[in-house]
Amino acid sequence: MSLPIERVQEGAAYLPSQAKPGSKPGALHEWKKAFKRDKYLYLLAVPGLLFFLVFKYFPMWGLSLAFQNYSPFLGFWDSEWVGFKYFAEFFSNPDFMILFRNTMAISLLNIVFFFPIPIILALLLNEVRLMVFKRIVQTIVYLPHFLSWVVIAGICFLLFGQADGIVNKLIEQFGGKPVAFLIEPNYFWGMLTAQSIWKEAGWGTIIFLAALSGINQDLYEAARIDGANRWNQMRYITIPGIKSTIIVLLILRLGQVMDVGFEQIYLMMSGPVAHVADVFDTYVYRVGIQQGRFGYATVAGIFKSVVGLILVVLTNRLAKKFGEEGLY
Amino acid sequence: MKKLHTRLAVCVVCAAMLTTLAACGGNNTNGGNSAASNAGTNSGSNAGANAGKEETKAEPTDITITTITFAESPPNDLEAIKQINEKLNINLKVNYIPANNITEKLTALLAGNNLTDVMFVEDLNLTPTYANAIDQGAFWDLTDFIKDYPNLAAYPENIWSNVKYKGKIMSLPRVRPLNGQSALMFRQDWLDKLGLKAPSTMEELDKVLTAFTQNDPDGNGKNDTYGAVFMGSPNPNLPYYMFGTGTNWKDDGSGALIPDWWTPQFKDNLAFFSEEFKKGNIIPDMPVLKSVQVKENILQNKAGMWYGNVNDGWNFQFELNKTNKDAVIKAYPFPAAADGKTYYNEAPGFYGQLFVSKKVSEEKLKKILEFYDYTATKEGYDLISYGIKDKDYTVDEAGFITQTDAGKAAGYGQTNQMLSGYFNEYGRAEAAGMPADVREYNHQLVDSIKPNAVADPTYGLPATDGFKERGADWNKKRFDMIVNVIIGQSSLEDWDKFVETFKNDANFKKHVEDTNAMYKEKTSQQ
Repeated sequence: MSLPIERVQEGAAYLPSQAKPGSKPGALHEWKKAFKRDKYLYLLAVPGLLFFLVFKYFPMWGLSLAFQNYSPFLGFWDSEWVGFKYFAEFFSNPDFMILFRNTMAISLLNIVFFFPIPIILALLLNEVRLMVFKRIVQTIVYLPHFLSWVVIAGICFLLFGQADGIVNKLIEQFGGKPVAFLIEPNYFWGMLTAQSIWKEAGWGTIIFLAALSGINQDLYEAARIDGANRWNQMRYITIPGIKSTIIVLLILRLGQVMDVGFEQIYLMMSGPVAHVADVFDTYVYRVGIQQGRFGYATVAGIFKSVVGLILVVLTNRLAKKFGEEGLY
Repeated sequence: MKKLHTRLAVCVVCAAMLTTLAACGGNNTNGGNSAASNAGTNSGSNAGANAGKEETKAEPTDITITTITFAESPPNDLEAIKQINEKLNINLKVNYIPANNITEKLTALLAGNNLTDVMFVEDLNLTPTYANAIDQGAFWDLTDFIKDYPNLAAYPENIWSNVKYKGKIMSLPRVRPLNGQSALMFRQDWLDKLGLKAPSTMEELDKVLTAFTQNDPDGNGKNDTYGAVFMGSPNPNLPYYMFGTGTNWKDDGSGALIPDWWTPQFKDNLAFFSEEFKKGNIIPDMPVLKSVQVKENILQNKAGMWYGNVNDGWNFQFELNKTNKDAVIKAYPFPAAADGKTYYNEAPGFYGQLFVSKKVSEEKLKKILEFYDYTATKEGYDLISYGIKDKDYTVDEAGFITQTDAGKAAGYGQTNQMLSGYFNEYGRAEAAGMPADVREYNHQLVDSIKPNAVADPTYGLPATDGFKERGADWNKKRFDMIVNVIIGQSSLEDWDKFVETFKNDANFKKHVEDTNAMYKEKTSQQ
């Protein structure tokens, strides 16, 4: 049910609406002219628009499930309406605070530790002079992105198991005591963040590398003539050059602050870490999907989307205040 | 910057198109299913119309079945299926769903109104939406039909009463043995090497597990073995039963039922296993081990004991012998509980139920039951499960069936998932290729279990409304707590507090009351 509203706006922002309909009487005419001129661009946009209409806007109708004791067999029209009952239940649930804490903690750790890494990696790659080396490194760091979470969880269990995990074998070799990495609640959040970094950091560099390639090379040349070393070039040209990209991506990321990767957490979760691992996504799965309480699950989904939306709007305003372009 | 924007926009559009394509693919499969079931209803009525005419053979009745599979989905054009189609004048179409996502898939099929004629349901408590659908009349009541089908009617009375839903037979049970699912498997060669006997009390069990852990039973000079391995994920699976608990509900002595985990026996069980864990006698990774990994640990000579079906002993030994010729695994009875008695659980006698959609006509329902009646015989069951004799499978002197490579390649092995099956009391004590002496021993073991087996008193009762709403959450909290107590992250006092919170929880109280009310109703009927 989570609606990436920021993507909708993203899509809308790049529609080729070159015409500027002013308040002048000829505005409509101008607009028509512009439409005629750009008709192929509009045609190109049609599939995207249809996608959002059919798969994003139309399903919003399903949000009304939140007010229903929905039964698939009875269908939408015959299911009982319950008003705000599920909202009350959701927010008064004693687990709510735990779920909220875990979700926010995992998400914030992700933003603080994971978000900067692709940027740093992209900057490093950008400085590499030997193209062959750069390509090899790029390929290697992209690879983990194509592994599924199941595989990564499996690798983790093999590496960090207590009975015969390689890491614990090494620790024992050096005279240490085996550490219960997998079932120790204190390590759980760190483990998740490390996994995300390992899997997605390389892939995340793509957008930044694209932004880097868009920086005007003349600037570097001019800077070199002025005696800037590579460090200064990075500081005064490269980073300012990709700043707006970073901010756009950060705003988008904040919109997903409540989405913490169901699959990863579900696979890594076990009894001993459950109280730090249970997040809204796993709760919705358990209570909503497994027990078939679709209405209740929808409430949780709406809550997640609303929090995301508020954060996007706030950060966007903040970004604009500091003179950045922002999302819209 | 603008350049980047265009790139982003292109990305978004591409992603959009991909998703659209994927969604279309998904819809097509569903479309296929519903088309098939529609065709089924039509030809069913045709068959009826043509029945009067002689000479002209009636159109075969289409029967669509949704069931589970634990391996690759078998094809629908197997020789055995063709033969049975021919014999019963039907046209079987089976839709296999991988076990990993059966629960979500079943819920989705119901939500999308894409039910096939016959629907497999693993456990109504896991898919409570199906319980609601039964209440709302989505499936045939089979109570009055079963007696006309002798082979189905011959299933043990216990199983029929366990499968009843609110006093009515709403589904066919996929019959399984009532006993033989609970035994302790020991590495006999390790016991012999250390000069130990299989334990008959909890103290002896503790001694054996400690010796397995500390006395280097595999003789490799390294301290790398553990006493026992148990499954901990997604839910812990330990032999609670041997303490006289684990049957979900228990009579508290006054005729009223209480959850089994409220009993002192359950606490004894937690105390025992947490002590074993503390001593290092249970593999420390237990909380994250899945059932497959239990097996892996056995096959890697890591642990000397586990808990499972009687025939697992032989099955695992067979595989283990490929790498370790000397390994011997033997199934043993449970050790006696503190009161000197040996306790086992009696299984419900079925795994999964088969519901017949109310969308099919009565005539077609009878055809479906005819199919299930035939496959409840050994002959019919073997045909669908193993294929054609001497081609897809062979039979040895003892009557055991071995699937040939040709049979495996053709895709048999999971085809029996569509059946209610043939009832074999010793099904969990036998296996293909098992030597006669092992089989004899295992049969005796099952016979000795039978008189001590206790059934869950609530078998056959529908889930309460409270359980339907909150059961998954309750279970999860309890399972997490059990694991935490065993590994020592929570204490036995924490467990008492946990039980106390549930005793005082208004919703849970209601669930206990409702269960008791239904239980009284059930017992008064008998």
